[in-house]
Amino acid sequence: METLSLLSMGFEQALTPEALLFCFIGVSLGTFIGVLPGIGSLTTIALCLPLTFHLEPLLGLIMLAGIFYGAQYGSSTASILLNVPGSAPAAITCLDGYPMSRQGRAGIALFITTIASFIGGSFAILLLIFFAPVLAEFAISFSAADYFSIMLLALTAASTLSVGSPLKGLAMVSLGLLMGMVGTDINSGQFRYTFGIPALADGINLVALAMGLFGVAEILNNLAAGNVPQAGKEKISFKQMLPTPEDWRAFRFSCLRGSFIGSFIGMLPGTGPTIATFMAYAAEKKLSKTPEKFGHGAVAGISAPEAANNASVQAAFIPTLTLGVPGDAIMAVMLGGLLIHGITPGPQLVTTDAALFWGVVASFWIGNIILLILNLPMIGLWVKLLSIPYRFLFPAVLFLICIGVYSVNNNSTDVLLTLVFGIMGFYFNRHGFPSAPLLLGFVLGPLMEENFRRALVLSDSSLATFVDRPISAVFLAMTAVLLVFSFRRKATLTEDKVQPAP
Amino acid sequence: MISVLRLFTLMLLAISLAGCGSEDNVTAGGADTWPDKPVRIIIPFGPGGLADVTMRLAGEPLGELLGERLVMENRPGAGGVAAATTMLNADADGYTLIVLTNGTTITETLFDDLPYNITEDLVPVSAVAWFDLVLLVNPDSGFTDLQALLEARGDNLRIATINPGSTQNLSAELFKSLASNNATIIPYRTTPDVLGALLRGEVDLAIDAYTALKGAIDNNQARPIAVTGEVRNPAMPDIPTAVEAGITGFVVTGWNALYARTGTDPAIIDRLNADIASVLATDDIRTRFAELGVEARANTPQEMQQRFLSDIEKWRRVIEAAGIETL
Amino acid sequence: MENNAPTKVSPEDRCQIPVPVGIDHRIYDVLHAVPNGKRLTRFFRQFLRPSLVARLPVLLLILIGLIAGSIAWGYEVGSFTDMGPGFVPLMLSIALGLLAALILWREWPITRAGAGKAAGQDFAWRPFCAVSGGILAWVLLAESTGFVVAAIAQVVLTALALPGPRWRSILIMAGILSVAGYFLFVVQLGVPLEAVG
Repeated sequence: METLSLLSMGFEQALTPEALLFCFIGVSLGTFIGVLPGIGSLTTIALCLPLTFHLEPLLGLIMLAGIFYGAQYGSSTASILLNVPGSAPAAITCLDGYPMSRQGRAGIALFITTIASFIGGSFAILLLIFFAPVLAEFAISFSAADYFSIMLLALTAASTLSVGSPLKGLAMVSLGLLMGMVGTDINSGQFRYTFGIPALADGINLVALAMGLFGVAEILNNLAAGNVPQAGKEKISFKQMLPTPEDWRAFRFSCLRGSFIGSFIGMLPGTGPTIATFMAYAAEKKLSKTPEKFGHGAVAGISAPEAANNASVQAAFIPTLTLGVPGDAIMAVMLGGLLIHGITPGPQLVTTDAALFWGVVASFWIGNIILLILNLPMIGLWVKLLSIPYRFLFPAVLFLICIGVYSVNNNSTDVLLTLVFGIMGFYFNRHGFPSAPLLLGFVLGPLMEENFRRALVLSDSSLATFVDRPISAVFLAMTAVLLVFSFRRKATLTEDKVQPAP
Repeated sequence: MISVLRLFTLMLLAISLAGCGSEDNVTAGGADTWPDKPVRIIIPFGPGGLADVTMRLAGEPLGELLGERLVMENRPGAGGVAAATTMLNADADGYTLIVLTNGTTITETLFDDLPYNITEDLVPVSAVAWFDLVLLVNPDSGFTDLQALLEARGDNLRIATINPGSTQNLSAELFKSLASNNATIIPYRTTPDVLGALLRGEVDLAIDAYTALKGAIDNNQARPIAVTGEVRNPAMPDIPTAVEAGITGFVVTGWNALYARTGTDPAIIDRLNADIASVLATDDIRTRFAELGVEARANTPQEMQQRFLSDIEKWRRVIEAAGIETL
Repeated sequence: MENNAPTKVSPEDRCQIPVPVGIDHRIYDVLHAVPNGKRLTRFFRQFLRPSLVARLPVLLLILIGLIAGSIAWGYEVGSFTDMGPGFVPLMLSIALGLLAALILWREWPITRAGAGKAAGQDFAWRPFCAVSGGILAWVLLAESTGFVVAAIAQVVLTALALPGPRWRSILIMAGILSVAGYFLFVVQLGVPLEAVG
């Protein structure tokens, strides 16, 4: 098959010593950055981009891509061990990963997330290799109405995210949606809720919000409660890292589902890994026979989001490489890196610069394998991290958060916002208002509004467009089914869930 | 314990004050010794963007000419505030420069309350790059002529651009006022989204920078039917300018330029200008810029200043006419 | 009926008037237990403030909804099929306000013990000030006095959240973090901050 021969040519390219070296550097740096809370792959790639100008385009791209997907491997580490996400998409892994860690299953959690990341990434790479052109065409055909319906489904699923009072969860979603309104309205150019501050014209920084709500708030919570997490001082043997057979059963299909959802969301330009992880988590919770376990250490709660995470970042390359349409901001930066070499990305890249394209694709796989080999032994190391007394750990984490958030926009106001959100998150959490729904609302809100209004403009104010377009209709139907399902479930549940607060 | 804390805080304060005070307030020795250390160039955009790429490309040979490295510093942020603030904190010694674009002239009107005043605080050194916008249609649409398109679509014309407040979007507003008064402008977030809209046939026309869509044009994903410059784009000699196509007065050219702090020694500025001009005249830079769809052309500080002011005026009128809200 | 903490009201103090239906007898107790002057302060201290504090998050949400809604009203609202920039923010503000009000209503019955618990959870001032102070120090110092100074200030101030005299270890940690951080973030990754000054 032609694809396979092209692929083998790609592997030839990717297996040269230089290519391997840069792949290794990229993925290692990516993992390291991913583990550190605050600083994310976008910032790192942007900061490393100038370094690639003097390299061959293939090597530079391999390294940058390595940073990109490598970061997704590492970001769950801090989530699981410290309840502080390494990046915004990893926030969801905190929900079940940290409880697992508290139950003494940190090693298992890390093992599961590594394997899940590998499977998710590989799944997306396979799609990229065999179906890229078809998928890219499919992805680009999504119009505003379709995007809206997908987001609506995601939002409805978000109501499952809260552990505890669903009303409080909904209130947090609304607050998040409202906070997403801050900035410039894209359909009219109107500045909303910016109070004359130019820094807010681009909206609230997602990293600042995520780090504040989950990072700073968590630290404040631990300090305030006075019971700082005590370290597990034993060395983790490989045996202890292995999940139980029961875990494997929970893992199998959740991982596949997560990969699927992640790839789907990832290949749509404009959506990001955050949405993918949230949706995968929500899907698992809805489909699970034991939803009450979620939030308390359910295996599916970490395997699906992690698979989705990695699948989405790999899948983002599909529209980028085949159509020249970057899947998200990070892709755009990488494409900029190609520009300076005089390479203009686009469909022609696959044919005229086949060596580059297939070399990069082959390096993805190699990179994922390297990451697997790299990360598994490091699990013991990371768990050891827990044995550092908390009083040394938390200033270091805060330090990383400060510089990490700063490095996104070189703007200290963002760090100030992180503190504000941290206090806000801490305060609301204490009173039973969860943070995860807020983050989801924040991410989804602007996208939903923008697409809804644009869909109406495109259809000349006809609401029928949402059901006329087949993709949109499908997702709306799924949303309706989900709603009906939830109400029936609620109705059959006994009233013991609905109690006045003591 | 408290006293140790106090002591430490005092020490910290002392260090901070010392840190502030030790900044090099003495302007480095005049034009004769400039430059004798690396020169910072502040870019108000993220890496990989057009302004960033063109400056880096030109920065290398320029650095060689000057004898000192040029260090690029990316400081993205709305309204260019982050970049401008950094610039304003620097001394007028010629060791810190900033890249301004025509987008800056738009920001002057859009944001009422900026913490900086370009005309007072900064002086131009030279323009570096010039680029046009392109009007594109879907290749399957059958239109090769701007007038034909306008006639066929009339008031139903749909134009896709990127977000409001950008040069592209304001150009669309200008186009609308000069050509077809009831067209609908649909803003998207990024250029790839604009391209997607065109590919899907959601819109009839897309207005965006040539550089951003060069790949699409070369791939026949989008067909240009007019360029917005004063003269035809050398990379597409068959495509008429918008003026030639019948839209009188519709000329939009974007630019990047280097600026220095007001009060910088004029000799330094002259030296920079001369060096930039010679770098931009070299074949290597001209070709590499052309590959990006950009024209490398320097000008004098006076010309740049004039251009800056006239652009402010031009976009101010467009913003007011379109009724776009200012911050 | 839940068990309340015993009130400090002696039977002699208690009013002999029968309690009107619907009034929380605890409010009634407090109001009628002591003669005038102290009545209000005790009411405030034992009941009103704790219950306000316990309900504060919800009240805050309602407040946010109101403020956001009124600002949104100032933007052009438009209609459902022709939304202006104010439409969705307005709808969201209303939704938030309604949800918060609903939560308030659902959780209205709040016993003295519950209120006391919420207030009695001492607000942890020390960690709050230490963390806030540390991050604020970083924000203020990072660009003006450089990375190293800001980092040291932040680490030191933050570490004060936990009690215990460990100046040496804190300073060592601050030193290591700031230097290592400098090399990683500023030198290697190129974050534009000076080391000092």
